[in-house]
Amino acid sequence: MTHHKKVIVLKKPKTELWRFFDFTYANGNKPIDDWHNTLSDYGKQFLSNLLKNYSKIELPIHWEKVKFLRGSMVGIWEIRFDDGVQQRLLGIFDGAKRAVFLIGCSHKGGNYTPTDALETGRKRMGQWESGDCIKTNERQITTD
Amino acid sequence: MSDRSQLIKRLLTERDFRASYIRAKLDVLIPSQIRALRLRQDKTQSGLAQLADMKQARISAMETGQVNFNLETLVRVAASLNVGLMVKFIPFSEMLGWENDYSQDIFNATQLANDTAFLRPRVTRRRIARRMRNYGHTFRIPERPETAAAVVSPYTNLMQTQHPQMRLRFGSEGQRQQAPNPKVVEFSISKDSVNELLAAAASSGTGAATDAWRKYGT
Repeated sequence: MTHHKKVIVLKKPKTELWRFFDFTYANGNKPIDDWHNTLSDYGKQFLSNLLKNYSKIELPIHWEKVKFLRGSMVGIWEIRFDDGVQQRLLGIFDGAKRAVFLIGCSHKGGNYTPTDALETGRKRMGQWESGDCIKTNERQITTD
Repeated sequence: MSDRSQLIKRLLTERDFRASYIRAKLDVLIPSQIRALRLRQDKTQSGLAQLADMKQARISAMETGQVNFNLETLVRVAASLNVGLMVKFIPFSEMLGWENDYSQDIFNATQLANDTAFLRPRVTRRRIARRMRNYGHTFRIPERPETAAAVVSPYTNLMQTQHPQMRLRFGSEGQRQQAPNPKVVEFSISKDSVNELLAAAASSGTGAATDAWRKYGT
């Protein structure tokens, strides 16, 4: 008796990388780029390297510089890094392996600059969820 | 001018920019490696802190990149994690390539207790030699001592310098009588080394030997 065996070769699944999007106003203004331009050369390079590293880490709980906010800011997290003064980049998750940056600001002595950064972040989260903005401005991860 | 062109232009011309570029990479990748290894080894921050004779808060700060690392700190952490540490000056391309290939989720370094290449190097060398035999070229040289020596010496010298971990099967162990005449000496080298071998033999003025090599090389 002959047994015919059908062999199905399963392709090794490719690990999908995280993608990062910048909040962009419907009129084309790019607040994240405006903040990014204020960083030093080191700050820009650091953020770029950090995002490259994050893009390959499956679980955001292992994004070591990320702090998840609580209370009225629940749902928003912030990346904290030092660039002379502490810089904070607020973001949210948007579906599978997509993160959105809402606002960048600096933080010193318990104060954010701009002072209404948290409120603006929350407002932009609402705009992102309602679609009242451009959602396609992806931050490129440089590999060369 | 593209972003990359600008980056390269500044890297080529500004020392401080180069320093920022290097520092930014290290400030991401060192904390990330420490965290990855600690998690691979199922250690808590407190556990690692105890082994490194530090406070837990310092380990936490290291993993979040809130400290300026000095070499002594890194040595203590490496020793506590039972792994080695290498500080090596390399080309920018190599640094970038390493960063591109690096992933915190899969990064690991074998702990000393499991590092057979370090603990039992002879076994590992035999394994490498076996692999070389399987994947390398085998050359046969007439067993006339002067010819064989002229061909093999430059090569072995070259390979010993460039690849000290490699052992050639040559000498009494490597010799075997394949046919009554001619007797041959057989040893294995990797494919990439053929040109090096020919160049070395030619540069040492052993024209006859090189010809013999080409004739008998298979």
